[in-house]
Amino acid sequence: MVTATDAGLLAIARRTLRAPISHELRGDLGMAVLLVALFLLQAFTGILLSLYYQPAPEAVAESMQFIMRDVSWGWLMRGLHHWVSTALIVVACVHLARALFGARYRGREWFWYLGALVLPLVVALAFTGELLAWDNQAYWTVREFLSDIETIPLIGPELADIVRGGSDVNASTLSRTWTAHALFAPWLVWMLLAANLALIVRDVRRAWGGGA
Amino acid sequence: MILVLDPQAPQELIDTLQRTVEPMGWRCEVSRGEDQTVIGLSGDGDPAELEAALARHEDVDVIPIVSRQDYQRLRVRRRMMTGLAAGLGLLVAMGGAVPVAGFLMPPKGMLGEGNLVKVATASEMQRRASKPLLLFGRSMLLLRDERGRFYATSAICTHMNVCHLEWNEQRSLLECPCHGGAFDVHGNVVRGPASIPLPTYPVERLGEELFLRRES
Repeated sequence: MVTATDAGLLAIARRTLRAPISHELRGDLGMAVLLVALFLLQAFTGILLSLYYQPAPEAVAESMQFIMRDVSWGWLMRGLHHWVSTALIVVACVHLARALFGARYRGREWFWYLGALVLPLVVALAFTGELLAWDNQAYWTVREFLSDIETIPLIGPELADIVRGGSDVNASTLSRTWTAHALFAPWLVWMLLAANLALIVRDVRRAWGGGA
Repeated sequence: MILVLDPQAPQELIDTLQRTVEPMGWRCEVSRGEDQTVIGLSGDGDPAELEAALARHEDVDVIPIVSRQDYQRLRVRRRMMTGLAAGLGLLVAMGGAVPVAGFLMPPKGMLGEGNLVKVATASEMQRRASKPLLLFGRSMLLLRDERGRFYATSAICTHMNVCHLEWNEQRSLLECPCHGGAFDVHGNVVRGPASIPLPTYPVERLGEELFLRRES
């Protein structure tokens, strides 16, 4: 079925895509593909929104109004980005819970561990995304959040300073929130998803008797 | 039926399998390949009996052979599904391209060659008419008074800098629906609570066409 010329990444990709899926895993695979698709959509709309969004306190409100009112389809992009972030959390929770209660993580523990690491990142992305509006609600949420962080023993105050980027909530807090939301967290999620894919490839190769 | 084994499957395993299935009425045809070892079974044994007998061999996959007709049907179905998925994907991509292209295009007013931006023609503006404009990132109103002169003002009330003004044709005033403030076409405050005059912009007329000048 596989010839000697079939080597390298292409062959691995082809084998993985054509690998038979056991019946009990079909639902899980479907949910996983849905999650990746939603995450891709978030990356796409997020990149588009970043063309107009300005993460500076005096410019935030105007740039967001500009997106919603002046840019064609801006309402659609922001709406999609907003609602898909919620959908991502829901789908991720359902996906993890199904695997847990169906006990399908057995023998595939690392899939579950990686997924369990993705979930808090997705929640963090939604949280920082809400803050990027930098309105009154976001400001007070940040203050609440920081005073919670400060109560962590030993490292609390220092950690709060790192998140805040200063002694009080200011422009650099917004800029740090922006970096966490747009650069830091998404890359972590991509890396975890890549690790998950590597696990799938490993399992496929094992099922084929270690060939390729 | 076909039995699929590891390519390095030991000969003893194959012999064991042969001894197991031959009494059930199957004839074995062993073929060792690079990726898998395949044992073709022909004969008219009972498939259920076979599966039960081989259930304890976890390293042996039992695969039923489909008939030529079934195989054709499966192929056609798979091709149809592939085509359907590709077609739907293409449709979605095309539908998605429109909003994305629109989003990437900077809004009108951000564009415009030179410093003059055409906003209307003189004939489309009746006397006492108004036209909302979105220019240079601002909401504006283009107005024409009862004597036929053109004015352009900001459309945002200076009281809270939030509410959009409405043009009252009868009284030739810009009225704020939020707190009742009013301005005339020159931007002067006619009625409070606003105290700051409305920003105005000179309208330039070249023949039939009306232009606003981009501020430097």
